[in-house]
Amino acid sequence: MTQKELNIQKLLNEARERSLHAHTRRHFLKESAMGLGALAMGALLGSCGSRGAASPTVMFDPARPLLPKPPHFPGKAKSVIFLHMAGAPSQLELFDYKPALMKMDGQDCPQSFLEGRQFAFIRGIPKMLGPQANFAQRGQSGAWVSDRLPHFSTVADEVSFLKAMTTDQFNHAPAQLLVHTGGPRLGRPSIGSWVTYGLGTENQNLPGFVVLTSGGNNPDAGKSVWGSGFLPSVYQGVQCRSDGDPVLFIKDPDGVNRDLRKASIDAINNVNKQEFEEYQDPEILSRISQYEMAYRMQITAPDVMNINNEPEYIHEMYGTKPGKTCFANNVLLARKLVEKGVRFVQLFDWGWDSHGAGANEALNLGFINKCRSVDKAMTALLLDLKQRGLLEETLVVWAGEFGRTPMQERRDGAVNPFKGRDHHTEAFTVWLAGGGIKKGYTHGETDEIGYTTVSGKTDNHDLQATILHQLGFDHERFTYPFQGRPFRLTDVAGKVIHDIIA
Amino acid sequence: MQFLVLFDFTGRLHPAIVHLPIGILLLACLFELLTRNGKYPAVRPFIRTMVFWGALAAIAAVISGLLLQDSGEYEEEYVDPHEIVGITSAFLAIALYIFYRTNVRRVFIKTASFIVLIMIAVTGHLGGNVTRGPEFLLEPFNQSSDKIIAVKPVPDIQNAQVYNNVVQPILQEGCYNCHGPKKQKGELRLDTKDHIMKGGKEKKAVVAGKPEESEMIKRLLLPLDDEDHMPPKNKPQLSKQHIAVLQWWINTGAEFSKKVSEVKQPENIKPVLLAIETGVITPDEEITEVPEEPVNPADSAVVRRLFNNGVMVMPVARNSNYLSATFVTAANKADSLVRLLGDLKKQLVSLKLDDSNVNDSSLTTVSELTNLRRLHISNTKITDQGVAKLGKLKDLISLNLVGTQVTAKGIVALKDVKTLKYIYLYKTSITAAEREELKKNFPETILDFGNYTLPMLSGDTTEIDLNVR
Repeated sequence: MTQKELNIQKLLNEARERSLHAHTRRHFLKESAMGLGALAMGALLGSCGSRGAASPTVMFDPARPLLPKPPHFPGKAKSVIFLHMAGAPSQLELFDYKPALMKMDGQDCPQSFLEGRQFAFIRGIPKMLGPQANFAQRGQSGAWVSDRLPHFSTVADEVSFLKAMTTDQFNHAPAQLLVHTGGPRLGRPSIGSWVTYGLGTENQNLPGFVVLTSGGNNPDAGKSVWGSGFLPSVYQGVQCRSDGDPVLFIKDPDGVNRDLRKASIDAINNVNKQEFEEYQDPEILSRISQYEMAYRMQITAPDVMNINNEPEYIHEMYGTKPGKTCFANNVLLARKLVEKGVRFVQLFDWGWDSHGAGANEALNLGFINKCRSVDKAMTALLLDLKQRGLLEETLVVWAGEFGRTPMQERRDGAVNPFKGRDHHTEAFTVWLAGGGIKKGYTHGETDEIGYTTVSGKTDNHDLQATILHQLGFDHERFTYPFQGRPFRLTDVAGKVIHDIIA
Repeated sequence: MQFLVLFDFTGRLHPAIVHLPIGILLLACLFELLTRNGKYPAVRPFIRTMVFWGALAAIAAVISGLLLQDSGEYEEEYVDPHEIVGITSAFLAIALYIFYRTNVRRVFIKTASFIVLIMIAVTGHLGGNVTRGPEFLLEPFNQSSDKIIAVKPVPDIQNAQVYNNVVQPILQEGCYNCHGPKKQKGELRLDTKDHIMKGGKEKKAVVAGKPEESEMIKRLLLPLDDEDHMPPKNKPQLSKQHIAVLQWWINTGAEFSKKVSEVKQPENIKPVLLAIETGVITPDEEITEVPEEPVNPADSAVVRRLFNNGVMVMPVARNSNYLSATFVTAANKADSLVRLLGDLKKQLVSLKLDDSNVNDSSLTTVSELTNLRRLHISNTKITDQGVAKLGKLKDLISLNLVGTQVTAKGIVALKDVKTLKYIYLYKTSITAAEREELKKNFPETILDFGNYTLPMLSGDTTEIDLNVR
């Protein structure tokens, strides 16, 4: 054998070995066992399906993962706009009016509220802190809303309040994960991913799950709150911007025209197709479809995602700030996206963590600025969706990740310099509107100082179950098989809150 | 005393013990019947022993069953047949064993085995009736019972007793089967004042003056598919009027001794009371988002063709043939594609044509979609002429005409569509005066003209300076 032949031999061996490396035990098992075994299983399971409706998983076509799919039953809502106030706004300054707490202002917190409880920052005996806002009953429904939200006060009759929301996480990151993924630890899919996995999306030229952030920071839990977890990665949230290019690098670079872009995407997809034929990994098909969607998005997205082509009076209504990244711009963009068939729009507005350690965290200073930055925009969103006939089928959810204590924060044993409250898990307020939710309704009640729930107690899993229900899913049957067992967004908990459903 | 407790306990073991004779005798009889013609000779020697233990277990089952019957928890009408057939089966099993011992002819043994087999099945079934009720087994076949409870008319209702003559008959027909003298599921009994006010195991069924807190009303109002809905899905349901009466009764203080005329009657309850008086309870007519009667699947070739052209057509739910369609990614071809919808006449319940190039003539096809509930044609060239055609859509619930050229005159043409709940008319040229006129034509419909504005408040554009302090 000549040296040349030897070299070729060596190369071939290496290539074969490489391919064997890629050919893992899983592929082997899949190809050998699945072939026959899966057929037999399929026949068996098929014949067992006496409850035809109970098929647990969603039909998933990896080549066209975002095509619309039907839910379990006809849903009232077709889209969701989730407004997450990251940092947890104080329910005691916005919706949960507690005159009794005012009377206790400045007194030591009774031991009964502290015994056996743990707080994120409070140490020692804190003082009670009365409401730092004035309240009034609003609209026909008489819902309590404080003067911190003068615009929102006028649409209280459009929403349902959950006043006895609870959580079991008192730190931001795990609590946010619980709100959005159903579990306090990393690794599970976010609700927007679940929804786009289950329903697909109506507009194949836009992402199905869009994320918009404001307030200067990402939420504490990071991008995992819009991650796809164990669901195929095509369902993760696509973060967009309301200023400049809506999606980074959406414009073709200088010197690349549309044809050249098409040619290069085709070339990449061809390589990917070969790769798929070899390894049969459905994620590769998802990747191909994402390239194709990105190509289509280059045409549609700049138009849909450009809030500047909205008329001036709409900008005034929302209180947008041209050229800036802010909540109002994001909210207007959210409406435009829903109008064009985007399934789930997730907004995060950072900066609601009113501890009182600095002026920006003070309930009578920074908190007021935060309220001002969202009040008009979220009110405009409800009214604008309503007048466009979109509120009937768009579910709007407004929530933080937990509540705030009726006590003034006493960080590490010293009273905080500004008026602020610590994280609180036992009671907070969330509101929902549209998408088949009752108008002007309040569900749940807290005790006379807003410390804990008295009736109508709900938690994140209940909220998630309710959101899924409005979209047409039975949250107990909406599962994805992973690591040998079916997983649910609501884990093993959650009860649909029928009281707030119209 | 201790001794009696033991009886009770043995009785309670009945549901466990019964499975022993069933299993053992079933297998023994099957073996007997299978081993004819000399097949499976290896199992033959065991059959006799099996029959012995089976018979013994059958005796145990009968004894425990008789003890359980003494507890009186079960309804006699179902227990008696089960008891008779059960005891007979036990005797037959003993007889079978004796046959084996005395070496009678195989034919007798085979016949006896066969009879025992049948008797065990019958006993088991009758036992099931005792615990689960006779409806249990066949329930899956009777799913679609959309029956409304039958309540006798109440002549001269104003002089009748609120509770005795109006409320009680509804409770009797709708609830007593499970919450009456015979059974008290969830520890709830609804046949006397005390029981009603006491409520169930966990919650108050009736909170006088507060229907929204009364568990009874809450459950009646839950969707039929909810597991907490009452009456259960397959039982006759209360009509809207029946529920309205119960709500009114609770709202007015859940009186047990007043006459109807002595209780406050808000406007909305008067027609309901009239309906109860005449006994003309109309089935709930409220239009549903998706028709209840089944429909044939749509022509898949047409659906695919629409799909390939960017029209997203999809079933409204997994097991439904009803469809919704949106032209959001086919807006510039909508005028020609709309014609294809003619093949989905019965199936389409929701159609979105917003921002598309449809025109008045496109709406001819749309007006033939007889089951259409939701129609969006905002920001299109539609005029009054097109809207007039939509008067044929008798089940339309929501119509979105935002940003079109329709006028008040055109809208009036829809006033016979009684199902309309919403018409969206934002960005149309309808004047304020015309709006008032229109509202009179549509007393039950929400006409949304939009144009909402929010005042400019000083706080909207200013921030508190955090550095001052």
